Amino acid sequence: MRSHMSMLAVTAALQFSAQAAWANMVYVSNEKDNTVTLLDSATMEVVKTIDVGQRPRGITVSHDGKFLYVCASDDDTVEIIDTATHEIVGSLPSGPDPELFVLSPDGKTLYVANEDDNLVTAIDVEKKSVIAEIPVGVEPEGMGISPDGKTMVNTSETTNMAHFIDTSTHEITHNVLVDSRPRFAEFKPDGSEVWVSSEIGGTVSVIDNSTREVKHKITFEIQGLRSEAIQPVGVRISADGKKAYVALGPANRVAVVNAETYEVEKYVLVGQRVWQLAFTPDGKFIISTNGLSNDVTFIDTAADEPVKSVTVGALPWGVAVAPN
Amino acid sequence: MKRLKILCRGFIALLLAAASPVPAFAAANTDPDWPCIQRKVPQLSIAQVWTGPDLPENAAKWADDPAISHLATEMAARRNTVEDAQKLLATYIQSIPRHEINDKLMQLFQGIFEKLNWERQQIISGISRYAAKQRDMAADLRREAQKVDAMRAKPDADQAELTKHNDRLTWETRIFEERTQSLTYICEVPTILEQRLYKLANTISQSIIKE
Repeated sequence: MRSHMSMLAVTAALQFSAQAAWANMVYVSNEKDNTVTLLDSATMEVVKTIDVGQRPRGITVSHDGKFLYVCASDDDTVEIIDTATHEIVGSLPSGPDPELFVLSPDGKTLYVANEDDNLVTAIDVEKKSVIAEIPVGVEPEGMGISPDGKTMVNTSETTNMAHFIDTSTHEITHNVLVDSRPRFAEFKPDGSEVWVSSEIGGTVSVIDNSTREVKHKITFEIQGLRSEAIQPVGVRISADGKKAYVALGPANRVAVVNAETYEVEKYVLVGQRVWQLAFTPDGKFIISTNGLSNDVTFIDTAADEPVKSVTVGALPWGVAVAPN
Repeated sequence: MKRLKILCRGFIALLLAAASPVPAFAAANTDPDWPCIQRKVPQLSIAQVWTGPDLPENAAKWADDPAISHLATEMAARRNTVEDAQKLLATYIQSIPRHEINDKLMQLFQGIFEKLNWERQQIISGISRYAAKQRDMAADLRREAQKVDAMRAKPDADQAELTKHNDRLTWETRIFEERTQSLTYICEVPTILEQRLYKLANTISQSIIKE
């Protein structure tokens, strides 16, 4: 009996360590209650909630997983959180009203969209100093960076443009007109295309990165749903470049798009007002933040089915997952 | 809040610049009478909130059943918390035969959906009226500001009259600014109703008996 019990204990320990090995921490910024919720990607349960600055929105993890960066929009700063201790260990000079940002592939530069000032601020993460302030269109928001780090794309909500910025000169090289209120820019992993979502236009513009022209526009139709409820926001493309996921706001769904044919293959019902998305590093799950239902949904990317919705803080906005 | 600050600043700048008030409203929206940052969604669709089975045709006849009609009113009413509404539902389910539950629940959902959607539409029209009134007020204030400027420019201006006009302008600008600030709360009301509807729809669909 005793040996049986110890066998069980060993099995349980093995299972636990096996699970712990591939578990990644998921970080969700809650815009309304000024917190970040930490979830375990394996158990899909809340581990901890930490207090951060006012109106946290954009959120990302350093490539080594040691630091979490959070845009505290109403505090006009980007907070740095140590992922081991969960303490705020510093801040970055983001400029006013930071909303979204993107970290360069080498992890050294953070590009921040300053919604109030029509600027993109480039910050040296190590020195915590501003490298450049780049004037862009009115109400900059979406930020994407090419896999080679040479091109950054910023979208401006009111000017309805995707601005292509050369990261070596910090100059805008191309302005591409997209549909109304662009919210997010995502490069394909091979750098061939940039996908830009338009919240009011209800579309995703696929921009050819070599010609810097819109080569395709993805539209969404959901039976029984009025078109104005379909508001594309967050976009993520799988590591193999074959599948894309688009959060559709008050349509309460995530669209699954074939990234090679641009056909919408499926709509996954998740929660209320779907905002942003993030993959787990193994690509097996994509997590959506659902602002009004105050939860996040884990979607299994093999079946494209929702697996679990977990209640987080008030008005979950951004989501980031720690790397392996 | 930041958005509101921008809007407020926009309005004040607008008054000072005496420019057309329309762009401040319309900057991010296509409807000039829609002042909220969220895109205007005038009506909700069942597909946005309902995860249960397809609603049968007789769901539309929910008002014919007095018990369903009463329950839909009580569950939709914001004076009752969502938890209280869920308790009312549980009590109702216990009071009807098992074979009737699914049909009745789908009728109930249709009733709650129509009631909350209607209430939300009324609020959205109210917000549009509010926005139109703000634009009119902005136009009045601009005229008044021009009048005060013109009086001030005259070397022989009647100081008492000038003070009277200036005080009026200051007072009305304050009212205008406070009304602009209230927009944040007003714009949140449709959202509150959507959240309620979503929660109630989930509770009802989870109570549907799966054969």
